[in-house]
Formats: sequence, structure tokens, C-alpha cells
Amino acid sequence: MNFQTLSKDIGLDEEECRELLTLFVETSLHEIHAVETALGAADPSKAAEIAHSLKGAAVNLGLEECLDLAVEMEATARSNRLSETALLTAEFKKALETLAILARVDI
Amino acid sequence: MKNILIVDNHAVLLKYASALLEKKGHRVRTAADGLEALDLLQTVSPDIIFIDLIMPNLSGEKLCEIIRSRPHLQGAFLVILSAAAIEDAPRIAGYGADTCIAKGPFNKMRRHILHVVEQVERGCEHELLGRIFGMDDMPGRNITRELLAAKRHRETTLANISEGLMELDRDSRVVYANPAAAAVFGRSEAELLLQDFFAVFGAENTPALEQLKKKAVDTGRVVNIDSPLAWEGKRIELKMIPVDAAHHHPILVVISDVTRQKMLEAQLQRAQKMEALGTLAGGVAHDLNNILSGIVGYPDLILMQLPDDSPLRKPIKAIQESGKKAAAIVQDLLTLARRGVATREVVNLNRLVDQYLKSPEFQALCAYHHGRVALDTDLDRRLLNVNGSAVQLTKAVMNLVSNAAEAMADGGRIRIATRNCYIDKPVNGYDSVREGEYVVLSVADTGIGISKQDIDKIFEPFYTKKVMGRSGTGLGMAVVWGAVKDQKGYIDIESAVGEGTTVRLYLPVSRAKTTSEEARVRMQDYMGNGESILVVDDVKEQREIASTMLATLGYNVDTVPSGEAAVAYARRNAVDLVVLDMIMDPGINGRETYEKIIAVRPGQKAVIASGFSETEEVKAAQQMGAGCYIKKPYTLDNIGMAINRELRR
Repeated sequence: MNFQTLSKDIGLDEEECRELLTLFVETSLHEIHAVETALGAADPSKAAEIAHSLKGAAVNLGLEECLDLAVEMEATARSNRLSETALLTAEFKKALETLAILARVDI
Repeated sequence: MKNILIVDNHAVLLKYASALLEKKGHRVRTAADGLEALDLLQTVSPDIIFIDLIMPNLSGEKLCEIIRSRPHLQGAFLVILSAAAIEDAPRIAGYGADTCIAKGPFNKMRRHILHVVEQVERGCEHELLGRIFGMDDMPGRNITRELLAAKRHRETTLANISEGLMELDRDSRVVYANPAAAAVFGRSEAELLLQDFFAVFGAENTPALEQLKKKAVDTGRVVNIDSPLAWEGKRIELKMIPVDAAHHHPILVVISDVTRQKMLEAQLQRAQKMEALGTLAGGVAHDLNNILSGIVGYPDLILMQLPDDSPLRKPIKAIQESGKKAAAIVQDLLTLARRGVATREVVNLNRLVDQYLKSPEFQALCAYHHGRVALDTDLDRRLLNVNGSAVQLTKAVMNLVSNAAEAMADGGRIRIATRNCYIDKPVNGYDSVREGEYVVLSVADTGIGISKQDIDKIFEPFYTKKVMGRSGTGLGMAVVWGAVKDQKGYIDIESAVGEGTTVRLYLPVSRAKTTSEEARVRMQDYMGNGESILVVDDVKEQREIASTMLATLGYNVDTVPSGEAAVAYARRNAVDLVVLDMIMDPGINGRETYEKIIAVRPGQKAVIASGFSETEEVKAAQQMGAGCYIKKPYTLDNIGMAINRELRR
């Protein structure tokens, strides 16, 4: 992620972009935990609902890898392929860890 | 510079949009959901409000509707933020939004957000109205469409179920109310939102509701309120359902207005109680009627044998009068039982009232109250007729006036009024009055009134005598009840302690003309000429009385003790007329007897005698050809005239 490009694209300065990304990482982590809880309770509709929400934020910031993962998470949860959803969730978490480094936030 | 409010449950979008707009010099506030927004909007009037369409608790659509209902927010420009803009496009104007921006990448949304704000700043809102910005920038929407459809399905279901459903947050504020719940309170959902649920029900109900909520939260289970709450004249039942902790301990409340249901239950119980009492009373009346026949009937025969100056005439007449009074009480009981066969005719209540006011009974009432009770009337001169028993209805008027006078120990006024009335929708009062044409008779007094707990019971036999200390037999109001129900009418009572009482009787209208009264007939006019009469009755005393009376009237009389014996007699002997008792347990009844007799003697004349009979059986016998009905106990007049009429038919 290039904060300079993002800053120019969305009309905020770099520090504000960093804050946005930090917020994205923090809220998304919270939601990933909720997905894991839903998967543990074998609640696919709950997992799909949260994945849908993750999708929106990823779109907003142009985070395509996160977006693709969230789309797949939602689709697999809706079709009750929960083991696949779990794998995708783990990948999403890794992507967040990468973003956290970029945003210089400890997670 | 504009005052802007952004409402969205997505923290990243909230932060982005507020930073973007603050950079442009605008004053920005944010709210993470609709309820938080409503809290803010109580004191703030933004120029522009951005609203996410899909949010928990309160949807963007609902928030728009509420904002548009608040006068101080009418000027706000509402911008919907939607991830499903295409599906929502035709609807945004319907819930009061002005324009819509599709959610998508921030680099695209930025342009549209700033454009909308600039246009509003320039006063060019009209160019934005109904438009959707950023449609091309939206990602794949299939699943969003499904989610929206599922959400709308849920909303439609909740909006159309008959039970009220509400959601309370952890502070017991209302965060959702479906239309059925809003209807219970007589308010819109918008007016209920954010109200303290306990405050809505008032301080008197708060302890019960708090206890209910605590029980629901502590047990984690659905709990029902012990008994319906009284609130603004209604009876409200509710149950609380705790929702799991992940959702901040909201409570779902299922709520129903059971006012009408409870009233109907009370009416049904009352009617069932009256039926049971009536059945009991009727059973006693049947036996009493037979016993009274001797006391009422024999004095006539004795008096015929006594010279005019006999000192025995007076005591014997007194015996007969006592017997008649007792018979009248028995008739009251039969009316109460609603199984007495009452004469039904077309009557005009104004005439009954007039006759009553000229009667010795009314004069006696006035004398009893030493002139302290004044009575006036307000009778509709164009009053329609009713189909019923003049005797029963006169008794009802008499009892109501008597009770009204008793309620005014220190004097007062009674007003009797009549009017025609058309009920075009059911009236729910003491009774539920159905739609239709009615004649309404009301008796109002300015007396001590009746307490609520007594009103439910005043029609019970002996209640007014024993519990309320009224004089009389204690059957007066029960007779009113029986009389009205026999005419398929309704009763309404308005009363309060210290405020007087008005009793209204609603009687269905009859469009037929009244029948004129029969002229009094002298005994000579109904003497017999040696015609043969068969008296059929299972009670020996009844056979003897009837036989003696008919013999006095010049008939040749034979008697039999049962229906079976009557049939056997008819096979062997021709008679001019049969006097048929209806109930002759354990054998066949009067209707069955008549049916068998006419099989061997077609066209056999008969009259039916009964003090306690199944009305349908009497009608059935009359349909087969039997003549009129004689009410027991026999008097010389009634048996003589009935037989005379039938023989000449």
C-alpha cells in the first residue's frame, strides 16, 4: 500500500490515511474474531453477515486482496462450506497483520 | 460552512467522511447508528445528513421517515449512503430522502460527497433531487440484493403480525416497535423510539415491569406478566424475552391489548352464571307452579258457591291473591330461567310505560317513598315497536323504577326515556350491543350509584337484596336480565358511586303493528255445552283442578295420567278436545302424545297446558295442529277462554 497514492486519491493527508488504515485493521480484527466465534458455533449465516461487512470496508480503502478474501468468505459461509470459510478467515487475518505493519500498529 | 451529520455503523467510513468534510471547513458530527442519531437530533439541526441505509436497530429508511416527521428538521437535506443503490433508487423519495450516493471505493465516493455538499452550499439542491451518484463504481451486488430481500421479508413479516413486538436496549429505551405494538399505545413507532418503556406505562406499573425484566435477564428465559397491566383504560398483556449478551442485553417484548378479550370473557362468565342460576330457579318453579294451582284455582270455585254477603269471601279472596302473588314470583323465576313460555306480541314501550305509570303498583311505589321521588318521562313519540312479552317488559320497567327509587333514600328524580336507535358498529359496554335497529329504554336516577364490583353482580338473584340491602324479592334485576335476553336484547349500565345510575335496555325493533288488547270476557261467554274434554296430566292435583273447573264450565271431562294412556284412550273414544300437559316424565311428552293421537284421530283439537316447557316442543305441537297455550297455574278465565276459542276455531 502506498500512502502517498492513497492520500492523493482519497483527499486526506498521509497521517490521516494511516489512521484510517489503523482503524480498518482494528475493526476488522474485531470482526474476524466474531467470524471465528460464529464458525465455532456452526452459525454460517452469522459468519456470512460479518464477512459481508468486512467486504464494504475493504472496498472503501481499495484493499483488493482483503476484498477478494471477504467475498469468498461470504460465499463459502452462505453455502455452508465452513471449513473453507475458516481457511479464508485465517488468510484474511494474515493480510491484516501485513497491513498492521504498514500502518505501524501493534496487533 | 455547513452543519453536517453522518450516520453510519461502519467506523472507517465515518472517520473518512468526517475528516474529508472537516478539511473543507464544515462542522461535522457523527453517529454510529440511528438511535444515536436521534439522540443527537433532539438538540441539533444539521443542514445535511448522510445516512447509511442498512444499520442495526434502526434502518436508514426509518430514520429518514422520523427525521421528516420532526418539524425542526424539515429543512435538512438527506443523503442516503447505500451499497444497494440500484434496488433502492425508486424508494428513496418515498421515505423522505433527497439523493443517494452508492457506497464504494473512497476515491470515487469522495467526488460525490463533495459534489453534493457544494450543491447544497450553492442552494442548488433541486439539481440533486432523486439522483443516484456512483452507480458505476459499485462492486458485484448479488449477495447484497439477497440480504436486502431477506431484510425486507423480515420487516414485512414483523410489520404484519397481529402481536406487538418491541425491542428495548439495556437502558429499557424503546429501539424498535412494530405497527401492532405502536397501535397498542396509540402512537407511531417514531413517537415511541427512545422512550423509556417503563415511563410509558406510568409509575404505578413500573414495579411490576422492572421485576419482569429482572426475572427475564436473571433466568435468561421468556417470562410472562402475572396478570394484565391496567393502562389508560386498557388491559395489556406482555412477555419479555432476553436476547443473548453479544447484543448488549436487549429485551424483546411481545405485547397485546387484551381489553376486549377480557371483557368478552367476563360477559361470557356472567351469562353462564345467569344460565346456571336460571336453570336451577326454573327447576324449582316447575314444582311450585303445580302446587300453586290449587291455591289459585280452588278459591274461584269456592267463591262461586258462597253467597255475596258471606264473611268467608274476604279471606278466600286473600288466599287467592296470595296464591297469585306467589305465582307471580314463580313467573319471575321462570323468566329468569328463560324457559317460561311467555306470550310474544308486538308491543310499544311507550304504551307500557304509560300503563305502568297509571298502575296501582306505581301508585304504591310513590306512596311508599312518601312523595320524595319525582319521575319524569322523555318518550319518543315516533317510537318503533318491539316483539316481546308485554308482561315481562312491564315487569322490567317496574323493577328498574323500583330500584331507582330505592337508590334515592333522601329523594331525587327518576327519568324514563325511550328512543329509536340504530347501532352501526358494535358498542362495547356492560353488554356488547351488535349492529342493528333498536328501541332503547333508559331509566336514570340521581341516587347513590353502584360500585364497579357490584355492577358485575347486580343481576344475580338475591344479590341486591342481601348484599346491597334493597327491599323486594331480590329477583328484580334478575328478572330485567331475563326479560331483556328473552327479547334478544342487550343491557348497558352507567353508574359510579355518588353519581347516580342509568340503565339502558336495547330491544330489537319489530316493524309489525301492535296487536290490540283482548277485551275482558265474562264467564258466561266461555261456558261449555257438554263437549267432551280429555285432560292429560301426570300430576293428580292438576288433573283434579282442571277437571273440576271444566266441569263447572259445563264440559264433560275425563282424565288420564300419561301420554301413553291418552293415546290408548283416543283409540277407543272420540273427544272434542284434549288438554295436554307438556312434560310428563318419565313417559312421552305432550308433543309426542299429540303426534300419536292425530295419527288415529286426524284433526284432533287440543290446547297445551304448561308452566315449564320446552318452547320448541310447544311450537312443534302447534305446527302439527294443536291450539293455543295455557299458562299454569290454571285459572277459570284462562282455561275457559282457551278451550272456548279452540272449540270454535
